[in-house]
Amino acid sequence: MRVSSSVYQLQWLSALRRQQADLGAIQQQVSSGRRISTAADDPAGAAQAQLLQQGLDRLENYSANSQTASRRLGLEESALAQASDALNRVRELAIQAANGTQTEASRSAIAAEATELLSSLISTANAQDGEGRYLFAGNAVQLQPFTASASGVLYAGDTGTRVQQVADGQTVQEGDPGSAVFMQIPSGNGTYVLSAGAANQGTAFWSSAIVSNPAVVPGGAYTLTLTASAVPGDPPVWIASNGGVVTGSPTLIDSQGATITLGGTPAVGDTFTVGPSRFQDVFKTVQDFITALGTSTSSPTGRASFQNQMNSSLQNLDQALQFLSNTRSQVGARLSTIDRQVESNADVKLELTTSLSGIRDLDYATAISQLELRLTSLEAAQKAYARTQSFSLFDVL
Amino acid sequence: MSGTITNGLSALLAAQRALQTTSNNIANANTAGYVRQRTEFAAIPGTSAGRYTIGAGVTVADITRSYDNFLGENLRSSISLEQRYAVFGDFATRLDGILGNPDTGISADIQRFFDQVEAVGRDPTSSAQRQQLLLEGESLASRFKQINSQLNGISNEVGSRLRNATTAINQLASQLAAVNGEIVEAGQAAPPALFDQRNELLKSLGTEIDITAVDQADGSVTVLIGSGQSLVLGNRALQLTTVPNAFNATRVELALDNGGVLQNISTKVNGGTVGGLLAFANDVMDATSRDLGQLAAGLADVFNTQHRQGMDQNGNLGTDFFGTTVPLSSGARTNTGSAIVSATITDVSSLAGRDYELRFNGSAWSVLDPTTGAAVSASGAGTVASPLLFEGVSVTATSGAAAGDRFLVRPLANAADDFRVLLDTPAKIAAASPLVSRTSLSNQSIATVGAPTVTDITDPKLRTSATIRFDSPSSYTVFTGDGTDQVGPLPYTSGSPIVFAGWSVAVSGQPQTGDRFFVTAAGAGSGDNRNAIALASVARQGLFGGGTQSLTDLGADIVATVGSTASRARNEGKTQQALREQAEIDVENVSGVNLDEEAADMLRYQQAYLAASKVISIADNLFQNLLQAVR
Repeated sequence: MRVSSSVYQLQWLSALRRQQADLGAIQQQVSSGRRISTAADDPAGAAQAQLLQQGLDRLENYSANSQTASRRLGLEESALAQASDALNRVRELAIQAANGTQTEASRSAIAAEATELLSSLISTANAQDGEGRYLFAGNAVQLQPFTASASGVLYAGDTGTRVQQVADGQTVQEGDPGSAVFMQIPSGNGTYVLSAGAANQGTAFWSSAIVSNPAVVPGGAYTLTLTASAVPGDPPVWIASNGGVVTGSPTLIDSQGATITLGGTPAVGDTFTVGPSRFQDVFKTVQDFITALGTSTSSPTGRASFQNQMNSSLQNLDQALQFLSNTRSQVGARLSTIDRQVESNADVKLELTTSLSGIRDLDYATAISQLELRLTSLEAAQKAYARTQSFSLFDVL
Repeated sequence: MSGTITNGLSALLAAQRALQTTSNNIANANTAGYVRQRTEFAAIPGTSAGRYTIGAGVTVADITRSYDNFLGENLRSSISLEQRYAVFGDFATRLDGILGNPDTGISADIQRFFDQVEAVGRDPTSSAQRQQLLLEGESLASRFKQINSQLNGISNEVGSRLRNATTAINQLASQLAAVNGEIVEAGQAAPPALFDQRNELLKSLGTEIDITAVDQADGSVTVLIGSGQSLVLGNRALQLTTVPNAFNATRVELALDNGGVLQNISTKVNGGTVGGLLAFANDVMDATSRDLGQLAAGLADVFNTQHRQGMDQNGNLGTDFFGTTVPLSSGARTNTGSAIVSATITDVSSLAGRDYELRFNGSAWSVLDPTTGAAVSASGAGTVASPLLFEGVSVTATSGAAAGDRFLVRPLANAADDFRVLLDTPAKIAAASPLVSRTSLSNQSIATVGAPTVTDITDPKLRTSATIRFDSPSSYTVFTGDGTDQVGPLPYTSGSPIVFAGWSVAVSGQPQTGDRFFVTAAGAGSGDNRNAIALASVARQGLFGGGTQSLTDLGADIVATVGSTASRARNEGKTQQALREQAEIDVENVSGVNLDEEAADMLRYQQAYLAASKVISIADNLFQNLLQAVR
């Protein structure tokens, strides 16, 4: 085959250009550490890398969200702990006060301490995060939620709660509104409220009121009245105003699911009202306790009334403590959900990072050996050209 | 005797010519387009001397050019294709640099914007975070504008390069016509250099545009372009010119000027610089602009829709966060009627990502895809009362359209430029949900109410305070604060949604007669972040392609499309370069000068010359001897 002299040069030049272009590309990869510097290097890979990168960004956001939620839940948890401590102390005081050996003076000392505890409870309920936002105001974070007034403590917040997204499809509530924590506590035993008639003439007081069968507790209120028996000589019987059947004494077993134990001696005509449980705020519970401490215990009926009030207060305080404790366990559950998600997010992040790196980053071992190979073949091309060009018939003419 | 001298002389002259040709070959070994020449010898028929004929020496019959027309044509077409992909690839690579870079592409900016939406969700009452969100929104808007103007810049450059190429083609065509003329005039005696020159001109022309060269009997070459239009015919050359696109004056197309009659050949050109430019403008540029527009319009639409569901810091319902786009409608320059067409986007998610050509036949409008020519189904008459509706676009035309009038509607042409932040203060960012619920504290039960959800943000009574009152433990009535609207009593089931005035809420537990629950507008300064969380997730919701493609997917698609265009162009370019190199080598192997071969030829002709000299010298000797003998 006939070969033109310039073909040597043409071929060598094009080989040289190609190898230099390849070398340039490898050199750029090695210096940037990236296999893909623009989408043209690997269009499908670049699109996938972009989606992975966005997935990673999302995890970053979840991580920041988790931190925010953890911080606020931590603040809530410590405020709830403070409130529990205060309430526990009030409960201790209530048990102390209920003891018959207390004098009026010692009860007023107890009242003074309870008043202090009430105001500390209000200030705990008005706790703020580090940035001046109220923790227990629902979403009305800029309003002081609780204010004491003549008619009790008023709630100015709303019932909203904020949530934070901590993983795909997983949100965590980052607080509880004050209405749910402090205001909406079921009174009595959580099902019904027992109250003694104000005009009771006997010395009867209730010492326990439990729910024996929640299924049959009626929705509305009814009254138990001690009525003289129709049979002369028989002891008086408790008649329920709504037709329920009451048996036993001093423990009254109501066919409507209530079991009430009485102390003292009731007089005929004395009443106890069983009403449905309703919301009572914790501040009212404490305030009621303080008010009850002022009840005169000089007469037997007065003592019975005091006992009844103390029992109500204790029941309500137990409800409030139970309620706070439930809220605290919810907060704890949220915190552990966040921790679990943070861990699983870290796993996902590692996977995504590995995949992203596999797609986008350079495999140095391969790249360096490619680089060596290109350099070697470039050198070989140069030598071959120099050799072929050094021979010409003109040299020997 | 004199015959021998004449023979010697003819050989001497022939060898001399051959040496001249060889030396010319050596001299032009590096001349571009030079075709090596060969001296063809022929024996001179002798004079008959009875039974035999004695030869009368040698003559140079011809000096031929070693040229293979087929290989030449092959080289020309491979140059055309190589240039097409080189030009196309240059522009595609620039586009890839603008949109395909993972760190600087638009997707990174969108991601930053949504990261800030998350930050507002974390801390919805922080005005610093809100301010930052407005700034991120503005920086996203300016990125859209910047990329759009970069795309426009590329578009303009395509136009000006097309004009330059047209000028170059016209010059080359004129020169070719001139050379054709010289060759035809010279006839048989036409010097080889003229043919070489014409070859080079054809190659240069092939670099600009794909051509077909047809050899004519008179020695001239006819050059055809497009679908067979002659650009050069003998010594006459036609001119190419650029014309504005029928709808868009800034878009340049190519036309052949045939005695004042302009023939648009834009769709018929494949190769050369022109082919690359037109392919890029038609296949890539428009589609990329549309994709970018779709991203901008889609983002604005989906974000606005969610933003309107929320409530801002002032206690007002959210307004549009981003500006929306108005489609670009333009009439063809050839229109004879006076109608003006205006279009609006009715549903961004229904947009098919293409442009539409509207045609009026004198009584009704029809819609078609200007790229494929396929009909697009549309409804309506195109009047205000009955707008023409198709693929998420609504079009109305004023009266006065004439039969044959055409309009181009480009729904997303302005979308990237129209993308802007409308909110002016951070407080107007609607991060909160607009409603809150409350339980009356004088309720006789511990039934609870959940958070209200908005089912219809447009309900006029949405934010009027409403009360749910239980008329009995098993039925309730809902009414607005002023009592004008009242629904109920309705049967109550614990936990089932209670729907009223555009919202829905669930009450759980055993409410007592007279218990009340309230649903009211959330107040100003709400710390709620529910709408911010919803806003943060809109980029991942299915929006396009019948709800299968999210904004994030669209962003990734743009990157993949731009990247694969550039990558394909790059690979095609490499292939075409290799093919062109091979074609060039093929041509060179036939037409190029091999110096060793020429050196051997020189030796051969030198010896021939020496031998011929010897013949003359011997004949002379013989003659002298004869003269001495007879003296």
